[in-house]
Amino acid sequence: MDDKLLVAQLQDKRTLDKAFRNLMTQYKERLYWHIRKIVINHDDADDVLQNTFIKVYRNIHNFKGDSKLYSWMYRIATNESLSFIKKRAKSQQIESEELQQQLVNNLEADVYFDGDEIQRKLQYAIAQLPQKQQLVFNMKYFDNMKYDAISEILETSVGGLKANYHHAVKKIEKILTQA
Amino acid sequence: MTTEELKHIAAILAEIQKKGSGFKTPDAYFDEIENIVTSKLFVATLPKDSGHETPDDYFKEVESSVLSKLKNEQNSSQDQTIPAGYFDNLEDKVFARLAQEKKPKVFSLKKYWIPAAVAASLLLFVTIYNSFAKKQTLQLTEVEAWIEEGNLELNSYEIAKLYTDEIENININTTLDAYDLEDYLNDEISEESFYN
Repeated sequence: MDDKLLVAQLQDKRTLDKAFRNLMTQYKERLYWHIRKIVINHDDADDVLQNTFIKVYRNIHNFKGDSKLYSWMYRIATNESLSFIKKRAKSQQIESEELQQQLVNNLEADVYFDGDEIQRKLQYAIAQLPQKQQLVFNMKYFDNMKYDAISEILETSVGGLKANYHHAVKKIEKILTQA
Repeated sequence: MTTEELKHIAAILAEIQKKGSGFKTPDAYFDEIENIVTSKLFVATLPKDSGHETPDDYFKEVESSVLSKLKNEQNSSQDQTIPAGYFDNLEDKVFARLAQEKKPKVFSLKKYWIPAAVAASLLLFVTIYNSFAKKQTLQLTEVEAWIEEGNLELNSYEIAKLYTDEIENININTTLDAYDLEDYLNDEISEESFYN
């Protein structure tokens, strides 16, 4: 369905509920995987995904159409995920980076992770990157998103994103080579 | 960065890319998301306030009310205390009571001479009155029943005062003997009536 039509239906109270269900169906998997790579754990990803949709529902009337609906929702999902990590880290009185490393270390016992040794090492390497590089790397490397789209979501220039991705790749390769 | 470029600068990463992230979800996880979110949104629309209210200043007085209640309970529990050593000789007391109750009841006329005398006086008075008043149609048993039912709300002193002349004219010694009186009282007046 065309974004403009969907947004119009979402902003009309008479069609909101039906349109919102369509919106969830259309974006649930993409948003889930984006969130999952940040929070690592399935249950947490599930919570964040639900909160993301609830936030979309409550704020859809504020959506002006300056960016694509898809980018706007990704931005909400990204903020929700990062807030979740920050909050969880604060409750454990540790830094966000430390928490992410803990989460990655738990992957071996995670029933919803079926990656092999090298895939686990890759997650461990990603967790050691600065937050922005992690986001760029995940969106480009796993989801093969275009820089333009990432730029709209993260509100960063394409040039900056390319630099971020390049640095991320080099660091990860180095970590994997050392391991 | 193209795949070729990636291969060139990071061969291992290029190799892992084909495998994906390794994350997976529970079976049919994506089938239910819409319903779950819709339910959550519905729950969020429910009022947070239960609607219950308290009387004015209720919370200001809660401490005093609780303390006062505790004090009352403490006093009440103190009232229910028993004398020291009460249970030590309770068995002996119970057996003593049982032994007492087993003894045959001896009815002593001496103990009840005042009510017996009053009853006898009344009986005599009624008998004499009945024999002299020919027009009187009441039977003695009817009068007794009437008195036993509690209709005569006079004590012995009031009766004696009311019928001073009549009683003075009665010579108990000449008309009643003690054994007859005892027999009469045993037969006609219940023992319980003396305890009341």
